[in-house]
Amino acid sequence: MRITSIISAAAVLLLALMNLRGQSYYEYKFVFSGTAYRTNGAGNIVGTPITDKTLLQTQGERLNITNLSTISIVYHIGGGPPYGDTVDIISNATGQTLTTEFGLYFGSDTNLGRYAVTNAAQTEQRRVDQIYTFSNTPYTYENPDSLGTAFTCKRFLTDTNGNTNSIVEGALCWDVTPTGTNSGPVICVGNFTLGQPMF
Amino acid sequence: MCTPGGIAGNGGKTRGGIAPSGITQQTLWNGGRSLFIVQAMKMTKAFAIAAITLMLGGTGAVAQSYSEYKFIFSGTSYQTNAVGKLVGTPITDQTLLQDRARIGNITDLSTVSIVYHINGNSLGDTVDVVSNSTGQVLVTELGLFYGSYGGLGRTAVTNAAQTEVRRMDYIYTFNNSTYTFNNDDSVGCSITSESFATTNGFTNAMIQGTMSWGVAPQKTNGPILCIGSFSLGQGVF
Repeated sequence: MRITSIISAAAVLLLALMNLRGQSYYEYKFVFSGTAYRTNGAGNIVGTPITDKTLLQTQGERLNITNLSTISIVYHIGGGPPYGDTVDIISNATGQTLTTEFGLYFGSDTNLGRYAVTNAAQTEQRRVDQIYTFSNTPYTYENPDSLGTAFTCKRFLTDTNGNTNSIVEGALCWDVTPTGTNSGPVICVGNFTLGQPMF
Repeated sequence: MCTPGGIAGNGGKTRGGIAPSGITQQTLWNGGRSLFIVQAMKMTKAFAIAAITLMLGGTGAVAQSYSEYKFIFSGTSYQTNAVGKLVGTPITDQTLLQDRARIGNITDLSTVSIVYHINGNSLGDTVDVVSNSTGQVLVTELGLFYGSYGGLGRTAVTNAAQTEVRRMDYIYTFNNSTYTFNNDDSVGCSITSESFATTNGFTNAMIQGTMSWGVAPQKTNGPILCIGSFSLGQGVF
């Protein structure tokens, strides 16, 4: 088949699956592709590709989880009330949040002068979220202040049964202060989107 | 749910109030007329000559280090239109400059420039609107601050030779225009990549990045979000 046909078929299948399940989701697989910049042993700045799998693996190591098929990295809508969404590592079996990779907070907080842009129908939104990280890994750093931003675009689709499904995508950038095995600072940039719904 | 101390302690604020300081310098830039000669030549030759002209004109003939370069920006501003739809509108450095000139009652745009000002403030670099004749900073469009500030846990990545830097700068805006507003806290972020080349003791900068920032509702405008890429043009001061 042509690629376009395959993609169309996959999209129809995914939508059909979501409708069959008949529920609104608030956690979706977090699909990320980016680059981590650091200074190498020769003193040069080098970029290394990173993905959601890289982030999942490093959190798995921190949590002493060797079987990565038992956990997922997910975009959690409203995962950090009242501040915003989160990117979490969860148990596939129970949905329990094991740790939080990112907080995407304060993207719409008028007290801080931050405003999201939303359409009148409240089905589409663009915002600049502040990124917070909470644990020390090669790609995160426990810090009380924000360490980056996400330019986030959200769309919400409600089917005839009233079930809402989300399409969220954006560009992320954050930095990591040296801790543990990181001998120097790291700057990460990349794009994310949502994969299959989980919970 | 994770709630770091900073969020609980300061409600997500990233810093206290700041006051950008302007820097006034005399202009030494002389616009390169030789660029007009290349119009009738082949494009490859034109590019080669333009590059050599810029290199010699920027670093050799004038022989100075620049701290201000033309700010070249291309992006999109998103806002909700009159019928309630979220729409994107292309914006460039000229859009920002025109808006500032309108507010400042400056009708001749050839008298002002929008520049990337290295160390325009003690907190970091700035994007300023300057007078072409005197170099006076007329207004600061953006502050790119706290990209490497240990007190906030932010560290730039730098090569050993200190000639290349990548960092996450926080964007601050200081006064009201179509694309900025007066706010104490950061309103966006810039992924900034800097490299510096020193020839005959004179240092020139190559800086580029992507930036996104928000603007609070003002007058009849709803909120606006801007995103785009920037680089540096010719050295100005």
